[in-house]
Amino acid sequence: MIEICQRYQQLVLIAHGNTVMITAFFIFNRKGDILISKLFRDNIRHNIAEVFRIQVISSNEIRSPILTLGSTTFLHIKSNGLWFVAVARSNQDASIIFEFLNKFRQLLETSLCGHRKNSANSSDGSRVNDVAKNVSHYINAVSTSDGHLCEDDITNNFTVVYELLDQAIEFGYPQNMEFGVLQRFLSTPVYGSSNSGSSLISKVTSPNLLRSPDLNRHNTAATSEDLQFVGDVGWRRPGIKYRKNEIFLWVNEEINVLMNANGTVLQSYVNGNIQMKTKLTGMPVCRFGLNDSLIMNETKSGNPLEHYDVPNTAAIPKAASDKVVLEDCKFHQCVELDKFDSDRLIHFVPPDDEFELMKYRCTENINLPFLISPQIQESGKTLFNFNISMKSLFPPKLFATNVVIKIPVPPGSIKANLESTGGKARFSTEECAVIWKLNKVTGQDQLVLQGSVDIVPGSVTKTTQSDTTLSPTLNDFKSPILSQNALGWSRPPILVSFNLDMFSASGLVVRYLKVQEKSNYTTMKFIKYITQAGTYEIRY
Amino acid sequence: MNDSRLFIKCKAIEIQNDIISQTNGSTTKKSAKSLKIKKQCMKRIVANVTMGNNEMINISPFVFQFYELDDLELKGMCCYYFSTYCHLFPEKYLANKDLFINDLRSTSSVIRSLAMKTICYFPIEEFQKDITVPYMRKLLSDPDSYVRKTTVFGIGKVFELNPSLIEESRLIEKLNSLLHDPSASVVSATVAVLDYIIETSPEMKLSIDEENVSSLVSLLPKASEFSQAYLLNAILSYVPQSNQESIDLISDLLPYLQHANIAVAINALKVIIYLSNYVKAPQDSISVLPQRLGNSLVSLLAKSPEIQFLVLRNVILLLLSKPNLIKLDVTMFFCQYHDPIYVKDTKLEIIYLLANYNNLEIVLRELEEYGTEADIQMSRKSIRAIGNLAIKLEDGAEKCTDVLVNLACSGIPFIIQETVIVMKNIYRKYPDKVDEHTIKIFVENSDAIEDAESKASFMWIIGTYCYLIPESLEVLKDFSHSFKDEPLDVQLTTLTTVIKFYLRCPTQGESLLLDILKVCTENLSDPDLRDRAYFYWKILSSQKKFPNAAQDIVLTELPIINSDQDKLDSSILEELELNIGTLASIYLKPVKSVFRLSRTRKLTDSPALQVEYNKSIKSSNLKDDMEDVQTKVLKIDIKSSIGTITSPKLSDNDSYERDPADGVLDRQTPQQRFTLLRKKSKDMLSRPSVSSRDVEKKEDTFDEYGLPQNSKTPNLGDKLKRRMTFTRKKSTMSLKNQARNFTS
Repeated sequence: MIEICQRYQQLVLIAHGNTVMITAFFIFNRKGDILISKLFRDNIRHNIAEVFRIQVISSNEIRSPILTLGSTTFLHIKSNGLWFVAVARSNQDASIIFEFLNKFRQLLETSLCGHRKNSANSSDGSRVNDVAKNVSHYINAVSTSDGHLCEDDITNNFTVVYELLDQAIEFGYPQNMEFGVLQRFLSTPVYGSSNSGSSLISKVTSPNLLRSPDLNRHNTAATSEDLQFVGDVGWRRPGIKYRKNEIFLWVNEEINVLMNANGTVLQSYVNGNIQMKTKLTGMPVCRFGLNDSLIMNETKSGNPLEHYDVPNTAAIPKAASDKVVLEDCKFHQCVELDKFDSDRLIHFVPPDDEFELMKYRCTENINLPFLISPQIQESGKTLFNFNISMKSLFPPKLFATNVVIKIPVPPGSIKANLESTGGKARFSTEECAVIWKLNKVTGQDQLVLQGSVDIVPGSVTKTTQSDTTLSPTLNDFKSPILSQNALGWSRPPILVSFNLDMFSASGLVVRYLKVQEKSNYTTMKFIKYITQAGTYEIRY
Repeated sequence: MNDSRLFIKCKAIEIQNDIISQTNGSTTKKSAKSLKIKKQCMKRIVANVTMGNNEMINISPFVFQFYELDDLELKGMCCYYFSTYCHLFPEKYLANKDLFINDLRSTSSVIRSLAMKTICYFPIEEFQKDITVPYMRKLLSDPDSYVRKTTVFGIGKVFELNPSLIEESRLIEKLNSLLHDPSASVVSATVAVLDYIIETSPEMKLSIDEENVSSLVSLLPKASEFSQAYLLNAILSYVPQSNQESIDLISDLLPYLQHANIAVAINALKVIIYLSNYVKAPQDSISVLPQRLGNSLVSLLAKSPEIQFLVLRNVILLLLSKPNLIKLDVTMFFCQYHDPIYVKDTKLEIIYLLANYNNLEIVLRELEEYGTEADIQMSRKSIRAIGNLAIKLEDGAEKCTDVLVNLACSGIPFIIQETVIVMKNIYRKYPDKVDEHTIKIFVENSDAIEDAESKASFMWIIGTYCYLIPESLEVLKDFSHSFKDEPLDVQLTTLTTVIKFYLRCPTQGESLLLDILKVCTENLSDPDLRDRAYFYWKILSSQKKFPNAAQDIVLTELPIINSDQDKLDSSILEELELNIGTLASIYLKPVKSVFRLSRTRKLTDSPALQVEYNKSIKSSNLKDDMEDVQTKVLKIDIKSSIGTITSPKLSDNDSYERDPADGVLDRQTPQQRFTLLRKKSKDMLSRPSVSSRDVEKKEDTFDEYGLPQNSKTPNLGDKLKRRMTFTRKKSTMSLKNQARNFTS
């Protein structure tokens, strides 16, 4: 029987030509074992999965995210050791496929690891800062305790994954993947990973189904009235109820700066996103206003604070400007885009619970929170002296937390003598860098790190060439950049990461957030502005 | 309750025994406890199926029994099992068809659609005729849009398995009628499935008229994100007939550039670019367009590296085909330290394309930084980029050369090698701007020059400018010591250089010349090298008869190179524009050369189509339309209501309504059309083309980025790479040809 099966496989592969958008979907683990496999065409499983394993997972060089062999293309994303792979035959829309891979991964994270994230948060709904994430990006640490998807989550809940996959792709075409909506199709409970003690974490059902007594007993969704008629599922179900209506709003900004050795800013922009967590009853319509320059120009300019509908002035962040130029915004699917385009009004019916409302980018009038001035001296080839002075430019009432400055040192460094006026500095051999950590930096403050690093002579990389081989006449032509490179070591830039609350790097302020629903309830609103370092690089 | 331990391969018999023993033989009992046991067993089965254990086929009777039980979770797992193994035991499905029929009639939408999904996988002809098709017809009119949507996709699945059945049962007409369904998700599903059907049956075509397009656009806000992407894709089948129509449609679609979902944003971009072909001077008529498009693209760069890669490749495409329509700032494309290599590469290409006199300073500073990076590949590529900039921007060449000289002074070997190659290109373009200092640097660092390409470049420079270099003879002598071990390219160039040197300084070069010629003719086996050596010998020895022959042949001026190689063929660009966001746009090659089974798309003619942009393509369109005339008879004649699949209308310009404000399309007399055609066909002949047969024969070799390396068409992917690896083959080639001409 199995032999016939295999022969049939080969025949089928040759006979058919074009197929649907996604021919097959796999999730592999780090070693290349298949965790999830779903085919939208018959019988090409082993061939295809093997091919991917051999070609991509086992080879070590940095690859492109797509690989085409013949007419078949493998598109993949990698996340925390898991490979999400989509197979496509012939020319397909790669944007749809990549967006699907990312969204499906997010969906799995929300449904399978959401509990971990929630437990890490403090009770008032504030967000654990992701600065650790930034630093770990450099350290290459992989942790399973921070709400990221890991292999165990998938193997413990593979039936849930298959159910979600069933709803997420039909016939190879990706469909709506809002978790709030797909929840109602899930009939299986979700289990935690082995780290947290493999206990039953939640029966993932919507609040409605929880209240219906029948379901708790039988755990079959088939008899629910809710599912008798499914309809056009959008992003919010009707009939949601909460006792307390609340909205939490986070304005997360990531400031990206590229400075060169002279202190001039080569590139600076802010990538921001606005996350919302709504616990609202019914089908409310929300109206959201920012100090977008295109709207502000129409209103009279006076005292900027007048325009803000926010009664509590503490809710206005520091460095807020009266108007901010948003280069581009990208909105969640619930926002009515044509209204925004014509009148710059943001109207939407929010999905339940957490979602990202919009992303925006701002390149003008960025408020830089830190000014780092490095001074480097290389004495001979064995000593590397540096003096890093950090000045915080934000108002004194604020303070930055989790400030980490990473200063790369030449490879082959063995010992470092460090002195700092604040925080702790240590030398890390694995990363070839001096890491200066400060828990709290108040505004308008200046801190200095001085140090020197001993280098084992001759241990620099093969790209070096020492000065002495160059003839003396050529010294005239040396450029200032290269003359500092006496060790022939190309310096990666200094990286800064930090977390700063109630500071708006772009100057963006939420002017108002109004909620309208037919039962006219009042809503509690909480807002928080967080600025983090994105890629804050200083070349030296 | 740790399910991961179920991922162990086992035999079907074991599971069977487990089931029987744990439920005490009564598999049809519905108690909660036995249900739980059955679910566990079913999970084991599913885990085994995932791992590829085909032994699970043997447990099918139990799976059918489980399906009968009224539990959704269990049903879901059984359906997974059925869809994987359905082709293997067809009789059983026929025998159990009542199970499925019951579910198809169930009162719950979820169960109806699950059943429909599952039966569409069954490839059994009888089953399809008797059950699948009739129930599909019924469920297409189901009151619940979710079920309708699933059925539509089911039609697609059955079409894949059995196309003739679908056509015979007239389900395609039903699909056409669903295009007017009130629910957005059903319409988008229909559009997606119709698109799929058209791909596989090339004689069918989707045509949309104005009314339909406005209904599609009005459905967009109500649809969920991926449905929006499919709907936008369908708008590509609409051909606007006037300027104003296109402008209105573009304004309607502009908001969708701001969707967080990249599929929607990129598809919106694709449609806008398509429509701009039908607008006169779009950057002027819709003045916000370049800024909006540029901003939208740049915000997409804030996403994951894979998406960045896709967006960047499309940016390259747009910069080549419609540079006026996109406004981009080069500083947004500067590489960040942690970008993966494929992103950095593509960003370099874009920096090259966006560099102009205004931003040259900034760009050069940035490229200089990259040149000193530890990563050798990146450094070499950025040095090439600087060189190519010098060739592209004539007034900026001085600054570029300064930067290159700075880099060369660093003394780092690979930098010097790369700079030599690049300077050779620069001297080809600006032969009178040769600078002795620069050459001196290379001479002093000549032991750093090790790889073949840089050696050959260096030799060429010495040969051509030996009158400026006093140390030429020593350098040549050094290189000639290792002559025998060099690769062929280097040997050929060295030979030519020695000849050149001899011609300029006969006394000094004589002994060297004789040595080299002797080695080439007697000791080395390569026929090219030997021939060339003999040939040179002949010329030099017959200097009495033909006194100036040697000078004329060897020392002639070479043609000036330019950077026009980055211009891609306009028909390829047009096709790629219609495929923005697809895999072809990543490879930047014509679709058929990579995916031979794909249908190619091209712009359809209409009174609004911009002639200035597409002169040559228009004539090829005309030619194809003439073919269509002959084949029209063979096309499937489906009732031609608007918005359905119909055979394409003849592109008879008279039948379209003319907008008097359009001065765009001049009426062309038949003679004019034919001359265009003839010119175009001549061009086509001179350019190499790839037929699908050729494509099948070739082996698939890929470079480190997974890009195929072996296409024969002059395509952008190769060109861009080739530009970065511009060699001096041209120079030797011209000499060779000249030599051949002389002897023959």
